[in-house]
Amino acid sequence: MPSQYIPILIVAIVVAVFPAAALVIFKRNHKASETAEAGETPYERELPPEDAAAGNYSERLYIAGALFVIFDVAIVFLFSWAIKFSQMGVYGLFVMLPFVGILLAGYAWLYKNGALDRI
Amino acid sequence: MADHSPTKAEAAEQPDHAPDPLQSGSEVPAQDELGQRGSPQAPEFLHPRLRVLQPVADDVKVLLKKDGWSAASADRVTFWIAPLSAVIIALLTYLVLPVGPAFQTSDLNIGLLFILGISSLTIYRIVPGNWSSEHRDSLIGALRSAAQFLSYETAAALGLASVLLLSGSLSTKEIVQAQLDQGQWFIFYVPVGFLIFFICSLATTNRARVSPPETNSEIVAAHVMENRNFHGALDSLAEYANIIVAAGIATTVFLGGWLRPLASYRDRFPGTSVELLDVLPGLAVAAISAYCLRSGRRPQAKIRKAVMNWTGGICGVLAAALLGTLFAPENAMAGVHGAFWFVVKVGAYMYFCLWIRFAFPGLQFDRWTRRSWRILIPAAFINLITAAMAILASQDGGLPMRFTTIVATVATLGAAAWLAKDSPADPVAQTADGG
Repeated sequence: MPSQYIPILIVAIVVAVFPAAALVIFKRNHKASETAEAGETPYERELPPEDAAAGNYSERLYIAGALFVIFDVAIVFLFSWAIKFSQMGVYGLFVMLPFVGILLAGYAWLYKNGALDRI
Repeated sequence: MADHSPTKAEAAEQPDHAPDPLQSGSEVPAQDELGQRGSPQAPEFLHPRLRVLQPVADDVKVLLKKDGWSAASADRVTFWIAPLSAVIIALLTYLVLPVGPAFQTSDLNIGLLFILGISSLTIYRIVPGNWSSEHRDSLIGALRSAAQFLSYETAAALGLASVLLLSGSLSTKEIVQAQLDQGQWFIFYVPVGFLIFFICSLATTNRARVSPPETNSEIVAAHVMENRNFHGALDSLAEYANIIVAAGIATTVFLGGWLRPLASYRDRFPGTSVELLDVLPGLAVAAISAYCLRSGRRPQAKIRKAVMNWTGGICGVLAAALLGTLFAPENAMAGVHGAFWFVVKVGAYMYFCLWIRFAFPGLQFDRWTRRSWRILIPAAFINLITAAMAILASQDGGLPMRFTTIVATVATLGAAAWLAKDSPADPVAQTADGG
């Protein structure tokens, strides 16, 4: 089994070296005078930021993140179930229905409480 | 936050600030300008007949731009890591995609999981690149991109799971083999799964005008704006590589991978081992080649003539390869023809993505994210259950698969329509804190 991962390791190294080397070459080809001076604002657009980066952010983003964790973990179980489904038959379906049912009940609760309106 | 002052729009209107962010923010000209000339900022030093090469010149220009900003607040490590990880992640995914039965770097038994896992790391392209600037607008863009990516990643995985019910394996090679054994591409067994994956691939590759998570006119993504040099070039390389990966996954999983259409129809020419349908692609490419070479003879501009002749020549070589391998050993034949069909399907899928990008107007990022959670993800769950029931009904109940598939598809689409009807069309107003 590990032998299948040897080509992946080799390609990963090649693939990592390519952009790194390209970036270094790009860097070396520029004289110091051509690089931006330290202290410049990080925006070519000259519009100063309204607020510090470490400010408040919309709750919408946090809700999306929390929901993602819940549903993505559920998908992990669904994947392994789906692979073995054809061997399990009707039993497989009825085993999975409660799992998905609980998930969808949670989804309905979120829906009712308006969490999805805030995304 | 409602009490921010002044707002972006007001600031942009003041003459002592930067001009309209739409003007200065984007190097990509509006679509109607594209038809008339190249990038409006590009120096037009090229000879009029060579203007075709303007995009190439633009790319070379990228290499000559000044090295990225080094603002005092910048985080150097993440600034360097972001484009590197982008390219590595994008190119690693190609490893397990089978380009024909003969061409595959590694046939992992967890192939599909490997692809999903690696491509989820795309987040590490978006967030560190924007984090490094320590700039609020950039970070808002990154978080929006990340939120949209996560939302659609979930639905895409659920869409793919419906295929695993049929294939019973995660290995990409075995998924294609299962489509050959069961006599149909999986798009015909789980059409809703394909639809969900297609929508998600539009959203996660940021390909569509439909989904500009960085919302150019408001906050301009930092990894586009600040790194319009080689860092940015690597970043957009990764973005385009991701489109090909999405097309490759869809081709492998739903569109039969390297299989030709009607793969189970195997009638041969009498007395030979050549299958009837294998001749068609070779003949079609040969016809294209002949057409190009013929129209290349007509009097016309030199550059057109050259393009026609080159296209004709390349197609001629391809046709020779396709027709010649018909008489080669079985393995060589399957390899070349499989690669041909795989590339054609990937190209067609990407064409559809671009088509949709140009055909439909944009939607705000939050509308997209909300549509994913309100419609797509519950619909994907329902699709999984109905697909499982359809498979059971045909395996154990003895009903024809065609019938059960149609019933399951109609039920799923009906549920999705009901979900969509219930969703409010207008989102809550966008605020300056990233929402």
